[in-house]
Amino acid sequence: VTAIDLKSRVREVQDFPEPGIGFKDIAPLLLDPDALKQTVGDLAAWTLERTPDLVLGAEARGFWLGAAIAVEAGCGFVPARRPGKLPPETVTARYLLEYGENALEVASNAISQGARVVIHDDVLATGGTVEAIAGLVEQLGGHVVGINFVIELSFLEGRKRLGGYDIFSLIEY
Amino acid sequence: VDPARLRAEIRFVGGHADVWRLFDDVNLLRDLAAALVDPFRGRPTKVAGIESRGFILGTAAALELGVGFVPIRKADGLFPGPKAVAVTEVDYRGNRHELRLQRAALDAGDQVLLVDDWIETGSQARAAKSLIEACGANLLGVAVVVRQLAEEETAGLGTQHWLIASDQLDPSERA
Repeated sequence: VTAIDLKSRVREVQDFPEPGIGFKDIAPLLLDPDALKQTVGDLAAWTLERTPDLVLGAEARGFWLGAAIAVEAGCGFVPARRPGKLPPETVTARYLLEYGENALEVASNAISQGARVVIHDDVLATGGTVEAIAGLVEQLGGHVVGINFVIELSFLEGRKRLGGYDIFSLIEY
Repeated sequence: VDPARLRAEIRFVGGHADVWRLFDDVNLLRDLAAALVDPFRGRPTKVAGIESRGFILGTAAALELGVGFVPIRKADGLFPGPKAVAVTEVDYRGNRHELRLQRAALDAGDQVLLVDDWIETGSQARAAKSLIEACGANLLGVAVVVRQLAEEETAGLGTQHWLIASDQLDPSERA
């Protein structure tokens, strides 16, 4: 079976959400069963090689594939959620976005001391979100053994910001 | 999936159900995805999930069925293109949510299975149904882990499938 060119399943939307920005919409990739299977399979294969105990996905778009990658890689799934949505106790990270501030929480008991964690998100842009999540994992005593993405916007140099981590993306712009 | 396993994993914290233990055990996660879709195999052409917890089991269920996944998003996420939009009835917290579905995601005649971890009042499922129908597709049914909904509230939501009823859960708080 020939591999699908996954980039062909990403819809580029010009001037969204702002003039001059080209938004990468992966909804068409989720909609194509073969592309979905290949995407999850490729990310899970990379994940499996890092022998993690858990895959952590960030709300909301990191939930699209995070649990499916975990199932395929044979490990559990843990979420990072927006504030106030997880039962107590949690740890919280605040981080800056291009416009404003955001925060994410992880349940304190979700990551045990020494747990090996792979973080998944849909897009690597500036890297601020996953950098904050990685900090939470480490605060709880876990090890970030890899971070993977469907898409990497390499011109934003997120990989440089996440320099200390093992990074993988399937589709590069 | 053995209901005793669900009783053990879904516990209450501060009066709210904590469903996250369902997902941190890979064997349970895998079994849930299969059990949710089992009665529907061969019939759905797409699986839909509502932001954000509905995304988790939704994609796993779509992979299990070998069909595509359709996200239904709330008001604030980036979601480009022409969309159908519906506002839910008031939920158990007294909130209304705007739900959105990209029109390009569904074709006329698509048979859509809605997957979630919990159905409480059905307000979101009814809004999802109106979005699906606005695209010319059909809501085949709803598959959830926990069903809280009364029988009469499921009218028009297609085939209902659930793994445990909420009154079968252990109501005591997690230690």
